[in-house]
Amino acid sequence: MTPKPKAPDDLALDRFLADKSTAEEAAAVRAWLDASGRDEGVLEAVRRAASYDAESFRTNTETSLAQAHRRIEAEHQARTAARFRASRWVPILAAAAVVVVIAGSVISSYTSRVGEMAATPFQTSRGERRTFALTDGSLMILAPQSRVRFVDGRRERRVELDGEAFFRVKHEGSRPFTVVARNATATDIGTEFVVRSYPGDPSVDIAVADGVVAVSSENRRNTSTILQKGEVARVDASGSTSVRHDLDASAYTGWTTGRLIFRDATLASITADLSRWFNADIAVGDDRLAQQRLSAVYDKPTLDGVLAALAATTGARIERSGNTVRLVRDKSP
Amino acid sequence: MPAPTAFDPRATLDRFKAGDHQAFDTLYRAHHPGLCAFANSIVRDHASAEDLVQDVFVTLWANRQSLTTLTTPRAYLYAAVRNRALNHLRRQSVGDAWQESETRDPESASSTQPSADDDLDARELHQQLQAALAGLSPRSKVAATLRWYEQMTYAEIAEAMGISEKSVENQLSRAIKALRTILDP
Repeated sequence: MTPKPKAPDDLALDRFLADKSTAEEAAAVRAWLDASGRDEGVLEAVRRAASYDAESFRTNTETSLAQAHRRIEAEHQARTAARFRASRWVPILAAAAVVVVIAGSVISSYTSRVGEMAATPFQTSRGERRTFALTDGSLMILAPQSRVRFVDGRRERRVELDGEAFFRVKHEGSRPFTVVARNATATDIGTEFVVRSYPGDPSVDIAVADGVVAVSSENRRNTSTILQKGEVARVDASGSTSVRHDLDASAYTGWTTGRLIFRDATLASITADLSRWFNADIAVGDDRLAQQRLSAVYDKPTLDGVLAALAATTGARIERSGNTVRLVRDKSP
Repeated sequence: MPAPTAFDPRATLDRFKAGDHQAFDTLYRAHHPGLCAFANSIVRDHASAEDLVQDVFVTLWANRQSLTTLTTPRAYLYAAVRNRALNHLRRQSVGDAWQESETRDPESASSTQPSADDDLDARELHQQLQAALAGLSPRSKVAATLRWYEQMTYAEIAEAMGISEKSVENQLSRAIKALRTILDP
């Protein structure tokens, strides 16, 4: 009796099942199966067992595709119409019941089911930026890895935010639009603004691109700070609010149009932003490098381009392993 | 049947981003059936699964210029569908229950039975394999599906599931260990 062939290790078996082994490795797996009284049918059975309901799930792809074409065409027309209309009603008709649908596939298909009073969650994953037309006619752009609950209530419109978002609020005098992020609250008085509150950020930042926003913090509810266009409020963990007038609001809103803008930011916070933006794992090798500050504007950022520029500015070197990129101090001068 | 991969995914993606409708159709036809089954395995509702897959494609088309993927459009699509499916569950306030229901749903254990003309051994083998896979965490099971059924690379699975490649390897290793006693009785 010939000795039993050595059992393939986990990775070799995995490659075989995924149809990715070399001819030699495949032969070794077959010999092992054969000696165990199994044939290749067992592997086919594994694939079938690992499949979901694909066999029982019957779907008509062509019908669905035709429907998708119709939806894309309808949204294209709605977007064109919305642009045309927007210029007329924004300055005058605060309470006009005009529903503008902008890239609102999610909203338009779900609002009818969810109902206007329900809290609707929206979220983006890393590397994803999305525009939503809210049920009240306001527009929201979510930065990567952000999450929002929106309550379109009778007395108020309330957004709870983790991460970063831009809002173009359709003002309604009887229903204030309030964004809550950690301990900070921003209430619109007819406006465009960005709220940023990622975990890891030391403060909540609220930047006003247009109009007026009232900002208050959890432990100082009675006093609110009024922010004008071009101002940025920073609410720190203790709830104290500071305002800067000398900042360029585009540093805060640039991301909504695909630009990346960093102003006197640490390399640590820049790489955190890049990781979210490009859905990549980017780390900084040591603390001293991580605390280096820099300013930069990238109009059409690509991950490789931004990394190369950062490396050149900080004198760091780029190391890659798998999905992870590390910026490390370059020892050689 | 795994999704056909007879086209160049990167080139199709580039054409898709440039607004080529044919590239949209190509991706739709290639991945729609698999994505629907994948979504259904999470939401357990055929109509919702089909709706949300279509939503993903339509939204993707609207935002095609900002689309970035580390690997292939397929991985991006699976990630987007997974996110949306989980959101759908959260909206129904049953998101927390998903992890439980995925391992315990009796429907999932019987849904891919071999047909009646398979012999008894095949049926028994299939049941053993499904029981072994059903004992895995939902993560391992999804990794196994994407790897052995969809035949994705580690990098694609990592992107689709939002985890590291090392975690993919660990999840698959767990799945292999669960199957070993059956492969080698």
